[in-house]
Amino acid sequence: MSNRDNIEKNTEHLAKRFAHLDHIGLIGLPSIDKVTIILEMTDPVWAVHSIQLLLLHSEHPIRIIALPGSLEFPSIQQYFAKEDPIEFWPYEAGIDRVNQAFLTIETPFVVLMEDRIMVTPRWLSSLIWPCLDEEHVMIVSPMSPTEQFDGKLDLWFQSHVDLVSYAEEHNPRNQGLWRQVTMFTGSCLLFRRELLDVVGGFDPRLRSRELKVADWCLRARMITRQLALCEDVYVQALHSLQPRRGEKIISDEWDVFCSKWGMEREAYPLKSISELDISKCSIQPFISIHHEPLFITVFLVVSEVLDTTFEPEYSTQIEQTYSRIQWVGILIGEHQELPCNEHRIWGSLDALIKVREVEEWHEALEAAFMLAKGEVIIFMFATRAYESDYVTRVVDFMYRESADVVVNTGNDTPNLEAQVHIPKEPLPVPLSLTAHRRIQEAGSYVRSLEEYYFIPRASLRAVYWTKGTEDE
Amino acid sequence: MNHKPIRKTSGNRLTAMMQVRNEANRYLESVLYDLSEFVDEIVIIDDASTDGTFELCQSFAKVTRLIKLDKSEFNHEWQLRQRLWDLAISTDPDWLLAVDADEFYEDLAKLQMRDLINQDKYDWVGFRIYDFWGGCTHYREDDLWLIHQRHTRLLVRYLPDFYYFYPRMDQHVPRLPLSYAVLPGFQSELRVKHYGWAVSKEERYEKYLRYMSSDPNGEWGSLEQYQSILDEYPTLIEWKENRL
Amino acid sequence: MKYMIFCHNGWGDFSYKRMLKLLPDRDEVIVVGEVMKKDEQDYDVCSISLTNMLSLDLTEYTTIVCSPYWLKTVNSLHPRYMIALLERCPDDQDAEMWNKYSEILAAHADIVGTASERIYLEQCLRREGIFLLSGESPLTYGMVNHRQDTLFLNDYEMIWFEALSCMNKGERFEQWTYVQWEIRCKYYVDLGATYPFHATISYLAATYLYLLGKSSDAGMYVVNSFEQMVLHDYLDCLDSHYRFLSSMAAQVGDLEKAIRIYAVSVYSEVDQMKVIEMRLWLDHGEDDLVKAEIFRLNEDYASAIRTLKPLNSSESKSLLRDNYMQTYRYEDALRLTEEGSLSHEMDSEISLVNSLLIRGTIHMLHNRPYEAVKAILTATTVELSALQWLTEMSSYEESAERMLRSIAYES
Repeated sequence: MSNRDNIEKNTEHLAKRFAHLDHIGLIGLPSIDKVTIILEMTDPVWAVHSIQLLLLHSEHPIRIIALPGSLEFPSIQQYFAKEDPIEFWPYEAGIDRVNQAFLTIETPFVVLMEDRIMVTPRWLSSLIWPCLDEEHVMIVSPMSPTEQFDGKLDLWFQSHVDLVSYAEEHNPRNQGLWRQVTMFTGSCLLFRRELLDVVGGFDPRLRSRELKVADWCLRARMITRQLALCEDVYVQALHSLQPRRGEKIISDEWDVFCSKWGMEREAYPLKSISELDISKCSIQPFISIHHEPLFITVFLVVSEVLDTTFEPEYSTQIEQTYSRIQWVGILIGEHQELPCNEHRIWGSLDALIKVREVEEWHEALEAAFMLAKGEVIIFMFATRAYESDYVTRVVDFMYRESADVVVNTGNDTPNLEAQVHIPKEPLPVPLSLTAHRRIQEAGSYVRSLEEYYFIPRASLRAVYWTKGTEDE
Repeated sequence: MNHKPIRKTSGNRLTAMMQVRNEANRYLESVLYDLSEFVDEIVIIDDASTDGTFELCQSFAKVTRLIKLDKSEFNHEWQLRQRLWDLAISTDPDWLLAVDADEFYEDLAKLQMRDLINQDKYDWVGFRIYDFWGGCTHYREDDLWLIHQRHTRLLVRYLPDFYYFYPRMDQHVPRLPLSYAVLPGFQSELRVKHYGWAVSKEERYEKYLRYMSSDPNGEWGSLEQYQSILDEYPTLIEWKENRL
Repeated sequence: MKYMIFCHNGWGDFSYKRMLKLLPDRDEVIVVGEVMKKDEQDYDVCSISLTNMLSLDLTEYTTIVCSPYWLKTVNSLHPRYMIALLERCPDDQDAEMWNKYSEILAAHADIVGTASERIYLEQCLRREGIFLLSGESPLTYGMVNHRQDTLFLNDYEMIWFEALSCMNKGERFEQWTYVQWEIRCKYYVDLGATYPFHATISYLAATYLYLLGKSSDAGMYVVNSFEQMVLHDYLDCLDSHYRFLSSMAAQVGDLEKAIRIYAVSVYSEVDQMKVIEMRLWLDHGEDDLVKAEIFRLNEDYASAIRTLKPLNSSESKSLLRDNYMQTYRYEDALRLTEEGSLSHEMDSEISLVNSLLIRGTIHMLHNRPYEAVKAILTATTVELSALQWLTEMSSYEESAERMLRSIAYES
């Protein structure tokens, strides 16, 4: 028998011994360390079910960081015991919470997944093994319906019992079957902690999950790290009947992605990404995971009020739940009841600009812009009542929609039900309902019939929310 | 608001449409004279002729639209058909008669043409075409030459809002849009004389060679029929003109 | 919520058994007629005899009715909600009777489901609240806990679940119809990209686009289908395909074009008069009447009714009544007739006869035979041909009796 034949025979024998020991339960876990699971929650029913399956089928000790996907995400803690290894983080507007979760990771292996995923028995060990088989393997994915390329597998099961039966029969039979691939886009990924040190986190300019993950994988490959597809693990996925935020790729972020990776814009959809030749890309693969939530400047505008019975709600406006705000007051015109005397309110401002003549309102605005330090300017007018979470919601909306301009034309402050409308032509809108990024020439400001309006620049991404909690 | 009826029962204009290529020394002149007697207008596309066909067409008063192509589209027949159709409908016609440069309508047909089109019950008319063979007195009738035993749609009402299309084939594309097949039609017993094969044996042989070179595998037509062009003793039947 | 199932021909033929596990707010599920013990356990249902069922108070039950022959019985029990499951006519039934009374069943129901896409699309053009109970997608859209297991729901199961949940809460559920249309549309559009020369796929893509109000996109699919039909010699497509374009033109508001397209597709004098009538309406600014009539002529009664409902003229009400009659919404039609302001009623005798016949049918369907016969017989004193309604009613009664006997025999 030749040397090569010997090696093959030996490998076969070792595999059989391993399978035998595994079958009788003498093979332990591939790693003794805890695994951190970052779970992005989009639906409370999905999240509860997903976490229950994680607790049931994760043979390793785990730490789950559950991240709510929106301000309105309800609490689901009551469905779990206090001793369950789950941390329910609160939602924070204006920042990528996944990047923040990355900052707290101490375990060598991490799983990033969405709550649409339903894991199967022994999923975690199977995903860890490739990292131990090959030192360059950095990101591992199971087969699932959420992968777009090689890992895509759509299997129908009538029930959870059927899914588990399939996994218990199929997975051991294919144990150890994994291969290198060029791209992942899916909802369940295991990665080594050290990836965060060499590649960092997600690109904050990207919003849709598919592009965020694809970009991350490409950066990993740039530093010769490998992506492993485990064909011996299948995880099921839930889908939404109606498209959810973050599922759709916005054209602006596609532009960002294409120019970053030197791709033709017409290359959409994503198939071309898996064929990209990254050796020709010269970008810096590392993106820091340290980000601060957006810093906001609020222009609190008090224009000349003719109706002397009107009592503006200054206090409500100032008492906002969002913490990172620079308050700039703009007083325009003569005020009989000078609010400047109210130190409690006006003392909270970081700056105050006053112009006696209404016709000088534009100059007042320019002065305010010179003082502004925030990344976003939000206009609040004394003539309008704002909820205490108004700034938080505007920030959240702007962040999630990747908008340059946000206008509230609905009945209420924006929430999960808010309908997004992007008109073909920029519309003049009340300035009191507007927010925009602090950029050059965001648009024009107009005063007409004692009202102030804003007309966004046509090339900006101006997003109008047209529906709040009530029907119009 | 004045609403014209979709289908007129009187005063319908009849427009003939033709595609021609190097027909100057064949039957074209006679055909144009013949057509001029019973149609109102003639529309022609000259498929890059090189023999004076274009000038011949120009000389007829009833030829109101005439276009000559710089490059022949004969091998992309559906494009040629589409061009001719677009040209014909640009004249806002009522009825269209699709005529070949070697076809003559029998006298009875010319007489009854107006009755055929001044009605609102059907939108096309099929005629029987007879393949004259080796001369103008006899037509051929044997197994592969039976076109006269069925009807060929040659006369159609133009309905501006209907949907028209030609099958995208390179050869043997029907003269008129296939969509007419879903509309009610009339299968007339009136006859059309086709003189394309009424030529000499040598000319028939040349035609045979042309068919075999452009369609050697019988993709668009029947190889057996191409072969039968060379038959020594085809079955010929004497033509009898109908009494008026 | 308590559910009561009325199968046609008994439990053995019931083709929606899995659905029973997925019913929302599931409190109790009872099947009228015999059910095998094993099935009772597997599907978590109870069986009840016909006699015992009749003694129950069904006002707290949602009934699931799978046969038009149950309609009379179920109506008389005044259930809280009625779900109709429509099936193709079984081999042993009279097709005309089955189809007509299935339509009537659908008209009476609060929500309708069917596994047949053909029936589904026909019904989408006739009324609201229709759902398809079949599909091809292997993806999972939801979960329901059932005993010790979690059942996974595919797209149509999830949509049906959501719609029924809304119905149980007394909420509107039309938005789920749109969700289903979007899914079916995407399926056929994607399939059409793989099979661009398939007449049926193109036609179905066009139909769903039309239902979604996207006629500007639907047009190219219907003409593609038309071409394929003609190329393959299926020439009976003038109405189904070409004339469909008139409905699409009406949907986008191009009524002139809609009338012209319709006019091309018709030849008879009666139809030509209809063209003239629509042109006159258009000249007089009665755009909505034209729109509604074009929809009706294309058998899109649902759109016609939606267009006519907000209008108040006697002419619009007359057209609305016609649409109700065509879709077997007899109670709505009767209400309009009794409102009395219908300008098209040239002959008051005809109106009286129609009114009596409708009334008779309604009585029959609510299990009031005496009133039913009385109304029909009164109609015959004016118009003898009304007797055929009596014959039809008798046939229906007979078929219903036969079915009840077979259920009772099984129990």
